[in-house]
Amino acid sequence: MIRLISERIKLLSNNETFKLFLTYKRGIIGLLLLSLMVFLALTADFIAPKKFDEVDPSSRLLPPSIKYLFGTDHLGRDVFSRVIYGARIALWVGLLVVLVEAGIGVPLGLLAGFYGGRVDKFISAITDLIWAFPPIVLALAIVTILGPGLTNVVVAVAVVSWAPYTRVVRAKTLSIISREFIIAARAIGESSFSIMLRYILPNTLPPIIVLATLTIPSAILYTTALSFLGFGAQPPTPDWGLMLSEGRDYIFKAPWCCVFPGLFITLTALSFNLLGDALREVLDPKLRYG
Amino acid sequence: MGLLTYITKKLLIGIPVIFGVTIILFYIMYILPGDPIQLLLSGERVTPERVEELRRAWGLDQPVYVQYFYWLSRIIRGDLGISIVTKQPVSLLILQRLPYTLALMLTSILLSYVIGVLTGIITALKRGSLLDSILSTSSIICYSIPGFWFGLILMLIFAYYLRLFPVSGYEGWHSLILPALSLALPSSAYVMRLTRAEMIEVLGEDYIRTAWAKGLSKRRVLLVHALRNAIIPVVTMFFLDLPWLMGGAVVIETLFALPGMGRLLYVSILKQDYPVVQGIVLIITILTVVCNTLGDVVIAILDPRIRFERGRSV
Repeated sequence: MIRLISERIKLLSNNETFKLFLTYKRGIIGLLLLSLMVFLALTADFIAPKKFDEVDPSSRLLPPSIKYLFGTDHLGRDVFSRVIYGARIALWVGLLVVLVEAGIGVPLGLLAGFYGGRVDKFISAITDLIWAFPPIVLALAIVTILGPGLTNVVVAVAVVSWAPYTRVVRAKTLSIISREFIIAARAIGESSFSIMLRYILPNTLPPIIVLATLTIPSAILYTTALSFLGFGAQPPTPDWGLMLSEGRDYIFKAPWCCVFPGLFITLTALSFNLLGDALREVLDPKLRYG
Repeated sequence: MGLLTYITKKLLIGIPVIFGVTIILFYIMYILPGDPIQLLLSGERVTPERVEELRRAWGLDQPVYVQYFYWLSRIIRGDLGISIVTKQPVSLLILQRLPYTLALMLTSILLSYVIGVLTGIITALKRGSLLDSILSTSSIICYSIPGFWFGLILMLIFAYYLRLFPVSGYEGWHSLILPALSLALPSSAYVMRLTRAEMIEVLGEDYIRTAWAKGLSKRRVLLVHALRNAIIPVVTMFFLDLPWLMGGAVVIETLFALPGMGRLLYVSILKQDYPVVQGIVLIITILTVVCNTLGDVVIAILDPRIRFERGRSV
């Protein structure tokens, strides 16, 4: 097992792209920060001193101490434990939003770029239409229909922000559609579906990966903002946005209830932004987003 | 393509988008749970005949698309419906709140552009220096910070500990400073990055070398030749930024209890006051389309090359 891993690492360190990535200090810091968050999310059950919903009325709003690293909230719950469990939700939500966005945006971009003409016009019109809505406002309108809840917020945020994926994939498809290997594939009688899936899609992956790394932080910021307003995660979920919303009533008495969850939102968003910046330089210098 | 043709074309593209937006918004309200007549009566007991009569009067017995055109024609006449909660016209409610939101947005745009453009120019000129790497890194940190958390921290430090500003509510222009700062933080970081990237690109161009070679003063080269060209994308971003700020305003106004349109939207969603929600979303979205179009037009005036570009880049 260890030999396998060390061989893998050797293979990676010979890889040009990876070598290039290593020259970006910010990217490495981002990767380390992200690893820390993933570690917290995976091991929350073992390293969190308390359960996230363990209420203790005798120790309400206690300041940070050795026993309670980040203090306790208005129900006497350990803020440190809740913040650790919160990493799970934030990462999961970020990933889910990006998957739904890519699930909508990528096929549309492929179709628009591949078929061109009317299909392209139609898909581009829809993309422009969705792009016309300010994200948070449209997400709020959708949550009004679906009702509050973390899943609904994920759907709402994804539905309002898949347009960049369509645009990036469409542009990339257009740029390679007339290359020899596509023409050759057509010549040997590959079906359109198979050309899109096996020849074009792999080439669009680098910009998709960059875009995904850069949309995860905004997905996390949006969902926590909606949870902060009370439309997202519901108590006692240890969602960072919800923790801020609950802590807001005690901000002057017990600022730690707000300081730490917000700090972790920032660190998580920061890790993806640093990583995404470096990945963009390495994988796709021409891509500009946001 | 002439400038006028280009602008007309852009304006014409905006119209179907606004049309599409109204269809989506109408449909959202149409599929919402709850009978509009019951909402209108809000619990008042009336005979079934009276309900039927109201239904006919409001055109609710017609097919969906007919209802849509009724609705659209009312909207065009400026009638956004009646609030279920306060029974006031939605347009009146929005007009009362709009000035606060506009004031907040203007203050925050002013802050973010002054900070962003200045730091952008400085970092571009001092490229590779310690100052550059500090400011560039802090810009990434700045747009990773959730605005509402930053707002809470500002509130804690400047309103509670230092007592320099009111904690919440509106008591005059100084109530806008902290909310505007919280809104401006991420966008100033974007403005800075864009200005820096554009300045660096422009400074490497031949005509800048020519300007130096002609022996022009540093100030003239940088301000007249370089900044004028570098600022074009930044100006465009100004228009693209407005709708995003609007989204942020909902959260920030709620946090600071400012009586703006964003907070009205929040409260209306909580109270399920659908006509108000619909009206605000409609207004904001139309503003977004108008801003996008204006952005296109302004960039076409500033940069003649754009007009000849075919197709759309990412």
